Amino acid sequence: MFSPKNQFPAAFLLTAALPLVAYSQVYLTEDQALQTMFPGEKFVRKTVTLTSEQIKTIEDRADDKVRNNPVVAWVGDRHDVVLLDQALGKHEFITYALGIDAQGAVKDVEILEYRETYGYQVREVKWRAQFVGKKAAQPLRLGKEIVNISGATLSSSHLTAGVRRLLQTYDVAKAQL
Amino acid sequence: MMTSSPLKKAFFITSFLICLPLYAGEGLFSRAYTTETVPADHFELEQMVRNRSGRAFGDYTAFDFASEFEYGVTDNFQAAFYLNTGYIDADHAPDDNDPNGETGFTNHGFALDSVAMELIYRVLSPIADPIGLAFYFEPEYNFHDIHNGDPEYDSLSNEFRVLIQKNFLGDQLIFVYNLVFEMEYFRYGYGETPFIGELDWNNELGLTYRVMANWYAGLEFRNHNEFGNFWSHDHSLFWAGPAIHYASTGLWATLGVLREVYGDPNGTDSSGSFLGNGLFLHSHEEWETTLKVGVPF
Repeated sequence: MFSPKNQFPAAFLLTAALPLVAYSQVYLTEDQALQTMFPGEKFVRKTVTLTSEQIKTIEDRADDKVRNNPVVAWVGDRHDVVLLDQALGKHEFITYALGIDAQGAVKDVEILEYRETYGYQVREVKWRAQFVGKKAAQPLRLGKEIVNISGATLSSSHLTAGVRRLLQTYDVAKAQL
Repeated sequence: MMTSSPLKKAFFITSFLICLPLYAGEGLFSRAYTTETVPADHFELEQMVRNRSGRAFGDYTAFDFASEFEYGVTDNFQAAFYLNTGYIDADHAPDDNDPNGETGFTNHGFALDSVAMELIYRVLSPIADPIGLAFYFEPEYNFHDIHNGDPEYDSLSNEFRVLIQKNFLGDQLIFVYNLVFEMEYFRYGYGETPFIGELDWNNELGLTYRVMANWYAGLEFRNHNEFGNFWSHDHSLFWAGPAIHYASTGLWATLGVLREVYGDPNGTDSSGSFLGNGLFLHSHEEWETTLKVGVPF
């Protein structure tokens, strides 16, 4: 019959002794992101409330849902713009900033806060550099214009969609900035 | 034979729950797997605790404990090692291997149930591709039968799964389907004791929604079909129930409850033994509650 050895205490102690680890990470403040993207430029913070028609246009063009309204924007004295946003991460939201120059092209993408277990490769300069120079009229798709990061697929997918949506947001609402 | 008291049981169960036993591969459901794999060069520790209770007559409750170490060999291929233990507390309960017939078997105690490997290869990602697809293989060497606690000898089982996942609503609504085939080859004695062959064909469905950051709430369905000697249909069961999942950096947990909603055969068998009202509670249970906790590294 069943041999009731008390094997469980060893497994109990082993598992209890293993540490819980935390990965939460804030990399940049808003001010630091602004100066990283546009050194020396002076910025004014604005909030832009999108109309339902604007939201529909943005979502149709970007194929991504507008999650945050009003939009938080920093407008520079040299007419550069930085839009702050959050993309859906696997567990939390990824806070990032998109720098757009006065000609409407991406200057930089900076990750301000990343609190996921995996996928930190989206912070790598080489991956983010793929967005530089892109404009609202150009396609921006993961696996096409933007290389997918194997092992960080969800983060790279949602950040790509987020940048695409922010470029459309800029295009639709630039008169309000 | 181990004696059991309510106090001892409570201590036993509470100990495992309090120490956050470690299990792996962020599971959104009690049973069904997603196509997710651990990224290359990362590993996860995971502990599962499952309570099964309620048979056709007598008292039956069992706890299954699965401790797992999971490693990402590549971004699409993971390998894992399991150590499965169990605690059983049965008084005059029915079972397939019941030497006492209708009077039911009695067994109390803790034992090492099995060791197993788990290999998952993902072919398609549900995020980058239109649908997620992965293949799962789990060879297992069994020391005890989890249904009755009886020792097994030279017993092996191989489980194959086809894992399918489809994400909707920007990856916030997740649907999974697992097609499962498990072939078991076991015996309850040494020497001349003949082996018994068994085929399990299972269908597992899960649907869960990200209700807020860190939290998913969903439903799970499970169908289990057992064939003696690999071809003779013995019984078919259906379970359904909720599953809640929490995940943050460094820790995730899933709590799921499945209740048997229909079993075939049911009522009474040919010998007049009670099986359950609309349920098959002869060698399976009406309720199972599963807690999984995982720590990624």
